[in-house]
Amino acid sequence: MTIRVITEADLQCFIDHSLAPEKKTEVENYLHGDLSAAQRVGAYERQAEALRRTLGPVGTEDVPASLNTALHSAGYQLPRQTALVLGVVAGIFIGALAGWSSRALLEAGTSVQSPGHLQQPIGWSSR
Amino acid sequence: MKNFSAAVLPHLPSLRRFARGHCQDVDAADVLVLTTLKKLRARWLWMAHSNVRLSALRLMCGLVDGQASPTPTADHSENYGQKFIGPAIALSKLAPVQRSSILLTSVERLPHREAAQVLDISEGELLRLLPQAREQLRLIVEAPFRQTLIKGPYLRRVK
Repeated sequence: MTIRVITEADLQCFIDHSLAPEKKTEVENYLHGDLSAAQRVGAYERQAEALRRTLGPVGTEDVPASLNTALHSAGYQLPRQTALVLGVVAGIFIGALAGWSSRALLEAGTSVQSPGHLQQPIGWSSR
Repeated sequence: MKNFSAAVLPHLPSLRRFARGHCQDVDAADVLVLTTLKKLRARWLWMAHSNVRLSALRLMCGLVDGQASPTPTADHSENYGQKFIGPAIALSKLAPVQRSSILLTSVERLPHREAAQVLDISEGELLRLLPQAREQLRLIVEAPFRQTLIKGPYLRRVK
C-alpha cells in the first residue's frame, strides 16, 4: 500500500469540507498520527465555528431601511428612462438636422429639375 | 434583463454579513454595502449573465483592499491585559485579503473555486493564502494564552 503525501492544501480543503470521501479518510488517518497537525486543524475549525457564531446572526437581521430604500430607488428603471429620453432628444436633433440640410438640396433640386424634366422626354423619344 | 433590486435583495443578508466581518461597526459595514450596491448598479447593464452574489462580493473586496490597514483600536485589548480576544477583533488585525479569504471560505462557505474568483486570484494562490491567514488568526487568538504559559514557569522559578 502506498501512502500518499498530505499537503497543507489538503488540510485546508479538509477544514472547508471540500475533499472527496476517500481523500477525507486519508487526511483523518494522517491527523490521528500527527498530534500537532491535528491540534492546528482543530484550532482552525474552532475559529471558523466562532466566526460563524459571531457573524451568522447578521444574516437573519432585518435589513436597515436606508439600504432597502437605496436598493429600490436604485432600480433598473432609472437608466432605462434616461436612455429613452436621450434617444428621443437625439432623434429630434437628427431629424431637425436632416431636414435643415436637405432643405437647401430641395430648393436647388427644384430649380435644376425643371430643365431636366424637359430633357427626359426628349431623350426618351429619341431612343 | 433582470430587475436590479429583485436580483440583489436575496443576497443582501450575505453581503451585510461579509461587510460586518470587515468592519465591526454596524453603520460602517452598511455604508460599505451601500457603496458596493452603487458600484454594482453602475455595472448592471454589462453584467447580465454573471453571478450577482460573486460580483457584489468581488466589488466589496476591492473596496476593502483600498481601505486603510487594520484598525489601530484593536491593540487596546492587549495592552490592558484582556485575556480573551474575540474572533471578530482578531480578524480585524489581519490584512484585508487574508480576512476576505477566511470570511469567504469559513463564513460564506463558498467553494474554493468561487472564493478565488471573488478575490481575483487562482485557486492555487488561494490555497497558499488560506493557511497563512488561518495560522495568523490562530496566533492572534492564542497569543494571550501563550503569554500566560510563558509567564507561569518563569514566576515559579523566581519563588
